[in-house]
Amino acid sequence: MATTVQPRTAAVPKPRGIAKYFAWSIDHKVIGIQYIGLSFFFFLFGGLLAELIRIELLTPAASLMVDGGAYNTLFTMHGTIMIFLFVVPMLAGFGNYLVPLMLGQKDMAFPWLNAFAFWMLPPAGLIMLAGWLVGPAQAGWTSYFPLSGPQFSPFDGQTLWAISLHLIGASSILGAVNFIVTILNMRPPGMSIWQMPLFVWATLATSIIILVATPFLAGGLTLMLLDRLAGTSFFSPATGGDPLLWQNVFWFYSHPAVYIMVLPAMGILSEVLSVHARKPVFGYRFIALSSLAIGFLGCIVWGHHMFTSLASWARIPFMLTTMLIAVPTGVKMFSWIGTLWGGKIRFTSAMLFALGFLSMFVLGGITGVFLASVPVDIHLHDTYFVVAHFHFVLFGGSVFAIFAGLYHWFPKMSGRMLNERLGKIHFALTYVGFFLTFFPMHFLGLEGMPRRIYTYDPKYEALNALSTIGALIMAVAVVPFLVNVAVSLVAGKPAGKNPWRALTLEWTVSSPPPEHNFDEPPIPASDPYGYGTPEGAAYLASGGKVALPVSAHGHAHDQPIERPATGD
Amino acid sequence: MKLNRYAIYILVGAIFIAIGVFVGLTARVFPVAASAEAAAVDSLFNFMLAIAVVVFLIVEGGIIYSIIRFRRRAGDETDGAPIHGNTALEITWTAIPAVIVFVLSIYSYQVYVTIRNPEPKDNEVRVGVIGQQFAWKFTYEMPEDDDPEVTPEVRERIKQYMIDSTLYVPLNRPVRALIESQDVIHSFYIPEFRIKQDATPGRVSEAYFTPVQKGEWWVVCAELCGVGHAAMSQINRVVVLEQNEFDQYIAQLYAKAKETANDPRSPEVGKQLIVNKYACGACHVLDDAGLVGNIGPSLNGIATRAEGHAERGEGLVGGNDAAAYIRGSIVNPNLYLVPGYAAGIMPQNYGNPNVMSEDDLEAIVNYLLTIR
Repeated sequence: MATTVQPRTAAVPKPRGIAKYFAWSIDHKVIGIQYIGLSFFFFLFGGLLAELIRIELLTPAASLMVDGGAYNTLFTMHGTIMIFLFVVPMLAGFGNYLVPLMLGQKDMAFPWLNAFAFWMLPPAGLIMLAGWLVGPAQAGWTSYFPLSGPQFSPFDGQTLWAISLHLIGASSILGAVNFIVTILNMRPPGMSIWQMPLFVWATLATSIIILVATPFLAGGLTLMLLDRLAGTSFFSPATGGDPLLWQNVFWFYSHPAVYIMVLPAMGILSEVLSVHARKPVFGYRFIALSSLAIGFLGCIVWGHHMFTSLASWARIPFMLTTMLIAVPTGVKMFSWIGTLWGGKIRFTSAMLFALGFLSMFVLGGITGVFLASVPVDIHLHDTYFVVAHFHFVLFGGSVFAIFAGLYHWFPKMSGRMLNERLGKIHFALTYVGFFLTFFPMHFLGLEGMPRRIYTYDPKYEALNALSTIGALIMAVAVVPFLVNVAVSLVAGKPAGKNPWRALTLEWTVSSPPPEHNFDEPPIPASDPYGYGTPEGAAYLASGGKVALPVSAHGHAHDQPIERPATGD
Repeated sequence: MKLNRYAIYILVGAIFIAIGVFVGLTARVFPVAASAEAAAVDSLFNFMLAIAVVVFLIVEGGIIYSIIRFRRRAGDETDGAPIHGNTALEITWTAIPAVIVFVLSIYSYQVYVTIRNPEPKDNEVRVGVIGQQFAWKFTYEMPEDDDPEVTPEVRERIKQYMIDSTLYVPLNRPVRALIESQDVIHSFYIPEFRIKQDATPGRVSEAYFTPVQKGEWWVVCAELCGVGHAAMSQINRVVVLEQNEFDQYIAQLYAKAKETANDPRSPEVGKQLIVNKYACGACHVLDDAGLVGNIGPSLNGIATRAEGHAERGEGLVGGNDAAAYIRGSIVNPNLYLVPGYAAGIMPQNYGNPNVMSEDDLEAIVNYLLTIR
């Protein structure tokens, strides 16, 4: 394949400037930005749907919606788009852009496959949106049978939904294969697996989860399509199928999918916190291994989504595995606070979003333990408490980390700095808006308000109104960000190679990096987080040309926390 | 110096724990606890809440302390201390959460064992719960009857009318709900009882609760079930009665059912079926029967309109009169769509005699033919 691709790409004149992001390219940096741009479009679109949801919920009676079907479509598409067309591809975009650079490579292991994986997404997105032309899906992003079956969802949008997810899943699997091969085989000399940046670790763990879990989504969707189009009956009880089979298959993918959306975000967080606190990541190995532990446990907890439908004996083992996930998650939280402890924290916009993650994600983690407990979950299942919980995880977690990553690496990607003042306004509005939107939902759920309803008991009105106000603040919050990106791309302060004085390899090349990334094989720092060490200082001073052998890293780990900063 | 630092840690920890205990003891975040099971769940929740508050305060406290104490001062270009970790500390913060979730798992398991109550009890009341798009309906066991005319076959006929749109349960007796669905998945949820169980088509699920407080609450549908999902949470009530009131209710329901079984196709029976057994009010307006649903077309004046359709010969199958139009609209709603309303929303299974018996269908048609 490589032999046919080489001459062809050489023969066609390459598009330049912004045009190259709309054309076929096998440059991982172009592909990374393509992922990021496309998924950001879907973030705005999915956000618009969310605003419509919140406006409808401002009052207990129906206000915007003509009927429940229109509303069901709104949250079905909001959930599906945010998960499959925003968070997952956005994080894949970061992975594509960063992993080869962090590993000192010219590109991913399979550049052509990489481009192919990306180009499955635009058609997938169009197919998803085309649902509105033929009667959109309205069975929720979980699409439980028999509601999503041919009898109760006779509109073709449900079929398009499944086809679109099929494409996205395939794209995701191809990307994962590429990451695993790249990370395991293409580390530069001088970088052991224990010296990889934690974002690379997180991408490795995520890719393993994708490879294990996503085929189940593909299998489930195939059966769904057969049930809808070929008259089979895998999931419809009226003709001998089992609706719980769909739930099991769906959640066997979709619970790990939470970690597909959270682990890379956690990787971003480790990078941003360490650089902007000017301090080594606390407990590198514990953080790296906890990614693998979360990945493993994440694959054996799916039953907790079915505590009100599983046989009662089967609920207990899933409660135990779910509870256990709190342990590696806690390790990460505490390690990040350990990273801040004793640092010289710089309140850049990237750091603010990272701190936003820390302070909000913890709530999502804690409420996860409540939901793990079977008796408590029986009351809270499918109520607004669950909506609050997963938005604290996926917005308070993943989205905050994504913004932290965008502020952190925008200078590398564009060569220009973002405006810090606008960044701080963006952060403040997002933080306040987010909290106001989702925190009241905990109490709505505890009171018993079910999810996915567009009219509700008037006793829930006050908290819903608060939540809607928060959502409107979040909508406003996007404006300074968009302005910031647009203005900074043209007139931002030039970033230089390494504006944050960071130690990972992507910062040793120009911003944006040349197409081949590295003029000569780079020398990785002996410790990618060696801030405050003589080795780190020397590495930075030499512009990434001199890496002293590992000395501090190995044994400093075992020193007490009060160890003086002077080193040995 | 060192001692002082640890003293401060212990003091702060003690304050956090005190706040956690206080919140755990005083927080009232749930609706009224109207079942015996609710009290156990609430205690478990508040126990978890106390621990959660302590963990939350430690984490947020750590973050806030760090960003104040370790903020970069103006002009300081140096890095932080090169601390890479502390194995003892890391093992500690791995082990403590592990112990906490272990304790929570055991406590949760104990509570679950007490509330799930799988063994039948002598004094328990059994009720049937049936989910349909978009309402709940409830079936009751028949009382004894020594009337010699009530043969087993008659009893079987009466049984199908032991159905109501309100769930009545007696105070202080364990209730076993046998939960089914006629179409898609619904979820039987009474927040005040802290119980929720999916109604999955094709299987019978169970839920248990013991009402300990008189009152009246919503029976909610917690699982997305289609266009009328939101409406389904504000249609049916659960009413807790004293034992003698409950016995009286059952006796009345039985008497009515017996009467209905004698003349199962009368318009009066049809009206009751529309209100109680088939929950047509979840979607349709019908002033005569007090139905107020807004999902499907109005049934007011349905007989007049049906005659009009019949005279124009519009899309009638199996007859050419108003009765055929109404009957067809019930058993095959997609063929008789009122303009502006989508296919696939009204239940498609009323042609199935196991779902709607021939008697019931006739009674409903007879009743609707009176609605001019």
